[in-house]
Amino acid sequence: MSAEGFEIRPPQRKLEQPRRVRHGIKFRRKLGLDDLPWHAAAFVAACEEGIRPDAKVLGMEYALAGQVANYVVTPGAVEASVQGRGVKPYQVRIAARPLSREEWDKVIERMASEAVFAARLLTGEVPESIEDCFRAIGRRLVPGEGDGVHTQCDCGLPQPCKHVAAAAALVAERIEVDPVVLFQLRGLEGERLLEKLQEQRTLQTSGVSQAHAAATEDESDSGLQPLELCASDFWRPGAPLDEALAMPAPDHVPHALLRRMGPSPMGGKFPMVGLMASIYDSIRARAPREGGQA
Amino acid sequence: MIVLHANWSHGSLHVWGEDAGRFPQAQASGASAGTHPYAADAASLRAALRPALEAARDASGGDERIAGDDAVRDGTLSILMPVVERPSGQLPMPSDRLAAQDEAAGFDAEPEEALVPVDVPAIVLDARTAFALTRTLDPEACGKGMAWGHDARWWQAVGRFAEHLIADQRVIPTVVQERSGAMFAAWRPWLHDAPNHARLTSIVRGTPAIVRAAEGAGAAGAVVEQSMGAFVDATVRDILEAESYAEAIDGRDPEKDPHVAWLAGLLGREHAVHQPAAVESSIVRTARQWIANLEDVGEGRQMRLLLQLLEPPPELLPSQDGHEDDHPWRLSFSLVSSDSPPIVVDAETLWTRAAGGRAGKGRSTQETQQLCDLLLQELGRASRLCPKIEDALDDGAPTGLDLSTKEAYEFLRDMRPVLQEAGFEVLVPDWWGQTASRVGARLMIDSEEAPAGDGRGGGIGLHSLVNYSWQIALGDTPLTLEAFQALAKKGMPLVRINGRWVEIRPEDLERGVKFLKANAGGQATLVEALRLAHSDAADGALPVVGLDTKGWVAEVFGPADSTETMQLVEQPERFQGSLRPYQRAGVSWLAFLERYGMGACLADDMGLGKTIQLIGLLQHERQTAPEGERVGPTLLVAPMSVLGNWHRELTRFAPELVVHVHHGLERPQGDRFLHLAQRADVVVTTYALVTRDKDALNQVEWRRVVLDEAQHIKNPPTKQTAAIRALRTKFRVALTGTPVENRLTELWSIMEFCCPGYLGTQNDFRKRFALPVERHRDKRQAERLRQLVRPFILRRLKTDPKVITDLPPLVETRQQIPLTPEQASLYEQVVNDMLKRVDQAEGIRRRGLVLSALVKLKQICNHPAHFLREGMPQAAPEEDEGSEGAPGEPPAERRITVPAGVVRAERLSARSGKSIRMMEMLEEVVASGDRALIFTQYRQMGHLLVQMIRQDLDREALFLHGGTPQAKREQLVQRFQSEDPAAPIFVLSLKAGGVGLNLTAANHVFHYDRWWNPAVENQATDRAFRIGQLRTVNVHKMITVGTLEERIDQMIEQKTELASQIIGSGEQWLTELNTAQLRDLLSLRGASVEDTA
Repeated sequence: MSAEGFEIRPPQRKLEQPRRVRHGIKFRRKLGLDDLPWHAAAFVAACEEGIRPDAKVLGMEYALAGQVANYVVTPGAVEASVQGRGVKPYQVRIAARPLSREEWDKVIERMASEAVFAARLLTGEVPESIEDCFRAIGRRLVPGEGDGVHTQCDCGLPQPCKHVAAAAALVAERIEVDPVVLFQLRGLEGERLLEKLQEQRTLQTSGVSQAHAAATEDESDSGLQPLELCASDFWRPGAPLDEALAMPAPDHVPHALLRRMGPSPMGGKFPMVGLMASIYDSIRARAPREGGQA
Repeated sequence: MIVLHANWSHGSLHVWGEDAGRFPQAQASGASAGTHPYAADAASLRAALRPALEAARDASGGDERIAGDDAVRDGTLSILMPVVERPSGQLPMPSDRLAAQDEAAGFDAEPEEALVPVDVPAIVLDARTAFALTRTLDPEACGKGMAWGHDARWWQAVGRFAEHLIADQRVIPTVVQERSGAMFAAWRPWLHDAPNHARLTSIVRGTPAIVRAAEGAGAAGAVVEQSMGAFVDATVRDILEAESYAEAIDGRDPEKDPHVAWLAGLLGREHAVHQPAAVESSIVRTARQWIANLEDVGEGRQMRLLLQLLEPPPELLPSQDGHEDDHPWRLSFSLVSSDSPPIVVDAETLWTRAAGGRAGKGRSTQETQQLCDLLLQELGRASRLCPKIEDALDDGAPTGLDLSTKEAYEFLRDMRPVLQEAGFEVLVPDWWGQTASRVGARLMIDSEEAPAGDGRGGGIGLHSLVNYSWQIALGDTPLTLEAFQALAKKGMPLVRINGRWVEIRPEDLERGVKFLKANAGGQATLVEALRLAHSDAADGALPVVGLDTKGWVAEVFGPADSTETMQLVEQPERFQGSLRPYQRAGVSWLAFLERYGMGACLADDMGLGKTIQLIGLLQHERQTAPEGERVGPTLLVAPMSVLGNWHRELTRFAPELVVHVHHGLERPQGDRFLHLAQRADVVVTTYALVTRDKDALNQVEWRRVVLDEAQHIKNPPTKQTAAIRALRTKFRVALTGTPVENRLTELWSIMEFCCPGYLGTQNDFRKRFALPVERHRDKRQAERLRQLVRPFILRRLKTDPKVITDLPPLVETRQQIPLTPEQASLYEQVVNDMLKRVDQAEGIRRRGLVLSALVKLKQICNHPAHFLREGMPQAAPEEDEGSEGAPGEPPAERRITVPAGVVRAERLSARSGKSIRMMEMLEEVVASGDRALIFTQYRQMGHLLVQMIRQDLDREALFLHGGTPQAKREQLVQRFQSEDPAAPIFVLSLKAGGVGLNLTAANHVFHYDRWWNPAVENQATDRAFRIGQLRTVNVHKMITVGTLEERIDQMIEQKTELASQIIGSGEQWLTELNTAQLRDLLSLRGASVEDTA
């Protein structure tokens, strides 16, 4: 703190125990910070880099007691109010450098090349390999490794302080169930992430986005020779076709796909699933078979 | 002849063709840039395609929209093609199918490395027509001026895959958003699940290059997904339209309800979908979210949820029989790892460990907690599919769930398959799903005790009368009607009988009662009774769960494998040689079936000695016949090409048997034949003559009719087949070396000969077995058919452990082959021509004459086209390794021609006795998955062999000759040695391939023409028979009967004095012979000329 910036403040009465907060956000995870998924654990580690052990323990106590009045995640920072022993809550800021628009475009282009990312993110998982897409442009999704966080708190204690630790714990708890928070922190609107991914996937395929993922891999993975090398073996199907012809048909499981899909998430009032069940019956009954419509 | 091909391009199927008629011209004049010089034009394409389209329409219930005016239009297609450089321009390579046509005979060129875009006229089909075409086309169809290219087989696989996916409800509704923002609904196949994904991957990996080469096609996977997508979408919309599904959303507002908005694009012809104004989240995204539930199958997870259903412990149940909910079933939860062997942690242990470990510290606690979380998470996922599981989740530490018997049944029948699909491990009691655990009908066939083993078949057989009766059975426990009705009244789906759980489907109960009342039993012929036992559970009938047999029927059709239980006969005393143990087993098996009046099909692998097993049977029955009783004659029907072999083997192994070869122009008819036949033990004749001489043959009451190469009785039934079936005989035996069980149409024909009526009419058979097994891959029907034919087919492979220890490492056989009339005529002319002129010549000129005649005769024995130099690649002078004709000699073909009156066979291979036999044997080799080397001294003969293999076997043979560059040689050898299933045949010129190479992948070696020095032949044989060879090598020497080939072979075999000269000096010794000696050696002998049949 510089001399110019020195200001006289009314003495504050510090209590033995922090003041209780009404409707504070309580940390509920039974295991504390153990066994977090990798991305949440890495976030905590980044926030608590260099923390004193006692600050870490006290921070967790604050989090468990609900001393964090609230926090918001904005592009570039988590801002939290943490009630300590002072009169007013301390303002905590955990800042991470957001990705520029161009950087996001590049990352999403990379992520779009693999369907697995979109599918996993939808189910709340963050595959570790996702970092490869960020590393490729010299950035990180989860703070750390030279692209970490800068923590601030107006309590005046050495950083990171127990207030930062308390806020970080709560954010980690949230990240565990909603990884989109990480994307928001890096400057991407969460809602738009999947849309962007889908949009991008389309650009790479036939210019459309579709609600189902392709079932085949790229040509390079199918074991086929590049077309240019096929001049002398051009006309005949390869041996794997015979394998395909020899495979026995799986047993029929009525309505298997519909049952696995479960209720529609669209929120429409029309009984879609019921109609689909009836449609599937008709499809089976009238499916074309040798000798005409059965 | 138009060879048709199909390509997917820009969203539709394009059919185009190569016009064989235009190929010779195109080959001469080359191509102008970018257009295909011999592509079929639109009119000829339409004509060639019409029969296939009509068949497709008929097979689809006559749907007029298929191949209708709107469905078919003209277009063009640009394809990247392999080409050959010609002075006149670039010539697109003919497809493999076109290259097999006569118009392309002799075309032999390596394509340039780079592919070149070529435009072709095409017929463009709409999705409905394209789907109907692909799933109904016959890739082997040939006739009416068209044939399909090899790519058709791939398209057929794609079409049938789509057909199966639709019938199996493996389609999903989806929605697609274009970049413009416009959305379209679509029906698509669901291909991500394991078995279908494996099939998809195999189809993609088997994609021929041509499919990917069209402009606008894309990668192989994209072609499959797009074409099947189009097929599925068109088909589902047709179905929904037929049932007026669009009415379901009549009056609903798509602006308010996303479901209605989506359905508006799914139910009818309309594809467009509009985002409802009142709904915030995008339809594409929520649809994606919904469909993503299908992707979640726990793939890649370390541990998965294991649900195990346990029956109530028997000791807790009050009695052996019962069904009440005495004690609940238990569905227990565990986690199972993906390791092998898997590690299983049950939920109870997990929770205990978690509770105990909380006090402690360390990693293991964390791991336990992680596993507990996983368990809960997976149970949550499973409860979506099996709502009952939710009950267990009320407990904080769920370990399992109690189920009532009804709930257990529901779990077994309905939940288990879906749970398994969704990536959960499900373990159920092993009786579940077994036919023996279902209520059904059992058939009892009651017959007399087995007749005495005198081998005479005392009047019993498939058509003798037996008593049969039906019983209702639960599993293998028969029930009375009263007991059954009592069970039925209680209405439980799972019932304990004699301590075993048995499934009673509600629908089975009613059927059972009805069935028993209607089917008491009675008398029928055995074949009818057996057909009852293997009949399908048609509507209103009970599934047949078993067959009980009593008396002699049990010996053949009982549960025991007759080849294990039958008594082994001794080797017949008069057999000149020794039968190997498996051959004695074969003789015993034939004798065993005949004792019960049954026919048999001996289908041993080529080289295991089917011939001598039959000879053994003939001797065995004579040896065991009662004193003074004469055993009647056996009629042996064989292809012309093996008649000589039969005769030789019969004389060699059973010289005491009286053999009459019924063949040749002078063959006796009428009474003379009857007289001869009655005195003979064996009458040998050809398939052709059975039809022609049916009157003569039908005078005789045969003891047995044997068909050799029985796959010759083909479908559809011909006059020949009818004549064969009409022969009057007591026993029937079929011999074949092809894996007959896998070729269902052949199987029916052969079984219909051996056991008439046993497999039903051909139409029945097609409906019950051929279609389900071959088209719908029905495992149950395949197994049922296997069971059905098992008693009558004996097929042992060279690799069977019982056989293999018996086999010597090298088996050498001579194929004695007759000349065709064309060959014989040429042969005689050359001999006469030479003899006439040799008298007037002397010294070097005489030698020249003799040597050149020798070469010509060897060529004629090989193939008339070899001698006449037909279908030679232009220019390419013959680089034969034998001595060439003397200089100054006018080319033989100018003097020697085939006289009028000698019918020349249409098919290239049918013009030479050797090549007929060669193709027959190669077909067996290929069908058995074996690999063969063919050695010839002549490069041109090699070309002819390659062409015949292409035409007759539809295979590309590898070919190595003196002109093959070193790099290519290595590539060929490596391809053959890698056991590439697409290249099972390797043709080699003796000089270029006879030394140095290591070709141990081959287990058959053919010497197509003879080299007088056995050492040279052996050296060639040693390409396959050398260190690294693990199997028996079969060496086949092809020798034409009555020709110089046969005579020289005899001399070498008998190690005559002359033989040592022959071996020592090559062919020079021949020139030293005087004219009389020459005449004796060379002139054609014996009635071995094939009939013009």
